Amino acid sequence: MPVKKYIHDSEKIEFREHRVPGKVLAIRIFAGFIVSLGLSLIYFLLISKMFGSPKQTLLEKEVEIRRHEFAMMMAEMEHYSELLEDIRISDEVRFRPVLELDPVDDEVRSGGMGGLRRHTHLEGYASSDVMIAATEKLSNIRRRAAVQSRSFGEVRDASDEWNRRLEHLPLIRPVRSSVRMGDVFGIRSRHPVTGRIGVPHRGQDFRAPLGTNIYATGAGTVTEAGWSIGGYGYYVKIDHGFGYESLYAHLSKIEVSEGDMVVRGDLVGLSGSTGVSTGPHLHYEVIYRGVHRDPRNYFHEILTDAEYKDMISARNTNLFLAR
Amino acid sequence: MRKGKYIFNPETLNYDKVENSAGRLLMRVLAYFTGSVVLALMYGFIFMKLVDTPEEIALRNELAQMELQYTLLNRDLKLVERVLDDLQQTDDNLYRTIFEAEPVPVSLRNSGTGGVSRYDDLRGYNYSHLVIDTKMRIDRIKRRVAVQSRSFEELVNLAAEKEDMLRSVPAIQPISNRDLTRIASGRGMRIHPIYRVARFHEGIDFTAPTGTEIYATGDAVVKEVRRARTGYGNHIILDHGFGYETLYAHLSEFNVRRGQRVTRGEVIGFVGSTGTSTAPHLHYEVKLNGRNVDPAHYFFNDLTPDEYQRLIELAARSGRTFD
Repeated sequence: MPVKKYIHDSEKIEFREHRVPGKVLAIRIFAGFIVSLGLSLIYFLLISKMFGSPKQTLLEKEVEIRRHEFAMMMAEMEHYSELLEDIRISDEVRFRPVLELDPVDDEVRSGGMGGLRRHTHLEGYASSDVMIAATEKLSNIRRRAAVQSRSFGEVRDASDEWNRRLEHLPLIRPVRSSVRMGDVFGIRSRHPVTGRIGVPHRGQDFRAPLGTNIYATGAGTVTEAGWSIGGYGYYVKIDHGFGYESLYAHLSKIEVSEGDMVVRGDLVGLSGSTGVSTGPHLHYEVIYRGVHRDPRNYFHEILTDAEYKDMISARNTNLFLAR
Repeated sequence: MRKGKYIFNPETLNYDKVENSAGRLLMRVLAYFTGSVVLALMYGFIFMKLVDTPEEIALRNELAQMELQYTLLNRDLKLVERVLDDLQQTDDNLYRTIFEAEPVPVSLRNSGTGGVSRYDDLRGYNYSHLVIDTKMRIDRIKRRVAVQSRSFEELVNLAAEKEDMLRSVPAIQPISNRDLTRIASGRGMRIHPIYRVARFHEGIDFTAPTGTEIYATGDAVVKEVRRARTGYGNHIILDHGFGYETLYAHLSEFNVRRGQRVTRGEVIGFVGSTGTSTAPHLHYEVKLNGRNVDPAHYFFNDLTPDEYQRLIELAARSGRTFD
């Protein structure tokens, strides 16, 4: 219970209870409130000056954590960058030389390095540096990755083409290794049947006994299969694409027909002595862009009969390349 | 002038004047002060909740921007990660198609690590960037130490051997092969690229673009310079003395003549695809006393032990040959 206070009224000469009118009281409370506000502001400013506001400290910590996250991201991107560089080397050093592709232009690879200051929305922050660095790094990686993708597309096409080429070109012996070679490609002194002198021999002869298996020397399409009026007897001609054709003449039996697709090692027929021939043998021609070539330049005499047989019988396991 | 205040004393039935002692005054000031502090805290708390200082506003903006950028970058990075994974797989697949062997990392930089996110297990912790940074740095230092530790040993060996012999014996790689990315196939049983049968491959195949310089691997006399359409194609044989001979095959051009003296590192010719060859490459053989030896054992001069180890592994793989 508050102690009542009195004041002395000197006019009436009596003690009167001391009462504060409501208005005055309100003004006082209001003044007190203002003063306390002022004071607290002063305290607040003093403390923030000395220690920084707790909220600010908290926010700064958070910014610091974000910066660390950015740094981590940069480390990750650095790793990606290295990986891309490795892939680039793999592309330029391993793949392109084999496929005889030109290197990708350096300018294309770097692709207009940095479109100067496109990051206006990232400027003016204390952490602008990390944000801009990360953004640029990422766009650099994306650009390089895009170039690499395109480059690999080209490499893939070229490697498919290269493998197709290897499967299609007439690059093996048409008969097993133990069958000896006869007349060679070039001008021969005297034709064995016609007796004419100085007529070019446009192929390579193999002394194959009657009925010897004759194999397609590369994948391709049979363009001719039948009787020749020009002296080849029963013969087969295969178009290998890439400008190459091969021809097998004097056969006793034909095992393919016109329009057939063959792969290397497919049986095209059996050797014989049909047409202009003095005895059973295979006459084999290689034609490149309409010009006859020496067939001996297209195969290597390194296989034994067993290996030759392996090669022929293994052909189906390699079909994935022939397509 | 302040009017005095009185308290009614019921014992004496008198009005006693209230004395304002110094102690009371102090108490009051203290009370006011405490009150203001409590109020200030309250205000401060409310104030902090409602209003930000300019620094805080800046920090908040900064945080918001960082968060936004981080989210955006991270989202893009996830996409990039997928693209890179894809590229890496394409790289591996192309390697399998072209070299018909299991892919190996392109550089020493990635040796034994590989994979997109090598530091993945360290991520996801605050401050883990420090750990990652440190780990990356340690990795780098480790590799550097390994590289440097070799030279002393080598010096001792160098001094011990005869100078003349050292200059002559084949001891470097015949083409520039940084990162060792050019070795396609070493000595040993290999699948023939066309015949698809296992053949013994006597030399090492280096893939390189047509026209790449070929170096003499030791001081020697040019024993043979021959042009050919089959087999080794255009090739050079060097006689190094001490029973050593080296052979460089499938060249596009020669840079030496028969009988000429050459020193180690001299350009003797240029890479090509002549003879029995499916792509531009150099086929390199080393003969000791007329018998083929593994050329990989004669690259000791320009390689660190790490690189040498890697080269041996590379050469031992059963990749396809190019001749």
